[in-house]
Amino acid sequence: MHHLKKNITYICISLLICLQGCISNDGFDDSATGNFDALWSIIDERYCFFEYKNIDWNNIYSKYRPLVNDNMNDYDLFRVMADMLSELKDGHVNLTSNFDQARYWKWYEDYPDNFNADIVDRYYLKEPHYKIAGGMKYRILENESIGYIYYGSFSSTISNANIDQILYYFKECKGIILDIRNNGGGALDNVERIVSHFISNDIVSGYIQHKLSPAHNHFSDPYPVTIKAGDSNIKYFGKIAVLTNRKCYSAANDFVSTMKLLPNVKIIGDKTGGGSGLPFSSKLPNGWTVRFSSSPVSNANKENIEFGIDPDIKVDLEPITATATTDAIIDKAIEWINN
Amino acid sequence: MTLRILIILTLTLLLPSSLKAEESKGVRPVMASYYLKTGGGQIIDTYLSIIPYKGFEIGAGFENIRASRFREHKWATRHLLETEFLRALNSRKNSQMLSYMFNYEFDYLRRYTLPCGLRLFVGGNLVADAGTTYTGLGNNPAAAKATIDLGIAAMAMYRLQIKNYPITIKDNLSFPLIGAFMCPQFGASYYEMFYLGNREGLVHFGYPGNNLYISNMLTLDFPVKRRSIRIGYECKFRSMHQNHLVYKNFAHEFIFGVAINKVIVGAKEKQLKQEIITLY
Repeated sequence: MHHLKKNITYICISLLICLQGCISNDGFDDSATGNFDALWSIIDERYCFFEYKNIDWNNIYSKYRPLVNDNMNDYDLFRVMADMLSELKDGHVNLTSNFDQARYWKWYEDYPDNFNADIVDRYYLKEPHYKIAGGMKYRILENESIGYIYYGSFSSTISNANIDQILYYFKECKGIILDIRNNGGGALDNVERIVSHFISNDIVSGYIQHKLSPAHNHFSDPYPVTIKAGDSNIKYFGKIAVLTNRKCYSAANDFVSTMKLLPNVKIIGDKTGGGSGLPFSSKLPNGWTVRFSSSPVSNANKENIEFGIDPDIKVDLEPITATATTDAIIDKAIEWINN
Repeated sequence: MTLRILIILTLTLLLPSSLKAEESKGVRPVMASYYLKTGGGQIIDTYLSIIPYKGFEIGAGFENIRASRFREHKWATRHLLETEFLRALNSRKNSQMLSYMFNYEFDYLRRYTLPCGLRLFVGGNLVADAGTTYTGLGNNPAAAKATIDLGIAAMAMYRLQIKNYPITIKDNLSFPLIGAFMCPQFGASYYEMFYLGNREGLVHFGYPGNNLYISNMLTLDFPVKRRSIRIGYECKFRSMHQNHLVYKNFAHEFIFGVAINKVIVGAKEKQLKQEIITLY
């Protein structure tokens, strides 16, 4: 009986060892101040452009933290948090609740659109007489030997077979216009898949880093982003005009940075919007989602492209009128290819 | 010190081959059980989100304990296969984290019988634990988990006789000590690690200070005809602190299943008609 008691004691001790595993939330409670502190802390530890943008995040805390108290409602708290995040001037930074999404869009809101989808569809793609493959609208321009592609989002998955078919369709063309205006980004593998059809050898398109600790400037060594040429795709080495505007952001920005390395490519239009940080997301105690730039991606010269890429040929559209039938950026691309 | 522990554990696990010469053709008691489990769980994975989640866990398991043929069944092997699925929510229940884990444990144990009838088994073990946590957020929607460890294992068995009805009480404790585990660097994305191939700093040496795993399973077997109904309780705690990232996964579950006592005679496995030889 004495031994049975010992056995039970042993079992209880074992259970207690296991039950010690309580999981705390590092002090961020689900109050207005707790959520604010959680947001500030996530950005403080994980955001990657403090030094590049010369932002003193402690000062930002001092500025906004007094505006928060535990009696304020979710709408007021959201507004204060959104204002704080806008100090980062980063299109990849969002705060999402079930009633609103905080965003910073000044990288295109303060500039001309330089794109009108109706004009492109009606007078260049000649709707409905164009084809669509993997999110790319394309046709050979009327009265020209030039292929035109409009690709509006790198989130639209495009396969090698799609690109092969399009390039085969353009096989007699003396040049291609690849219009990515208003392309707000998407998946980087689509960028690499498209570029691989325009290169004969592997290229280093840029470098990526990531944070090694919560310290603001503790990053890994730059790691090359290599785009493989592949050997079974249809390639195109003729003239390529890539059309850009301020709404080319994130993956579209990376695409422009890579295409700019190729000698047969000209970037025509307006400066891109930027967005070179690979975004991560996290949650606040109240369930709101915060997205932020986490891993900086630089171009092949290790230059930061967070604030955009200048075109080779700068062209702005005239203010769009109801009777407009032409797009000066496409027309400039046609002129460059023909010359 | 760590190296010495590693050598001892490795030798313990390799012992079956060194004892083959003493193998007899006698019977070999086996206890097998299949069970389902359900309970509560808590999880935090700061690679994905800084907040903790609590929720409901379900799982299934298979356990097989075999006594050795040699040295009067004084050694035993234990294989444990478990799988667990956790759906956990934040305090406002408007955000979730999912976890799926698969666990394999191999114990090699030495039996000691105390005068009161309590059987204690102590030895080393090999534990492989793998799975994923998932929030579905942007570029960091999931985090893979993988560890392989060597550690200590203990088991206690006692046959409680209530009038003429025997109840087998068993408790298993697993405590891995050293091994290797996977953990990304603080801000490394899966795009960089697995699409671009930068896997630097992904695999780490593990010890209880940075990779803790404790599992304790208490079961009671109630004989019904030639089988036993098994009920029990299991708690499992996984913890990882590496690269300024924290992962904790704590679950406590009730077990319900079936246990079968068998013997292996030669190469054949037979179910016991009568409980002549058992592990307890």
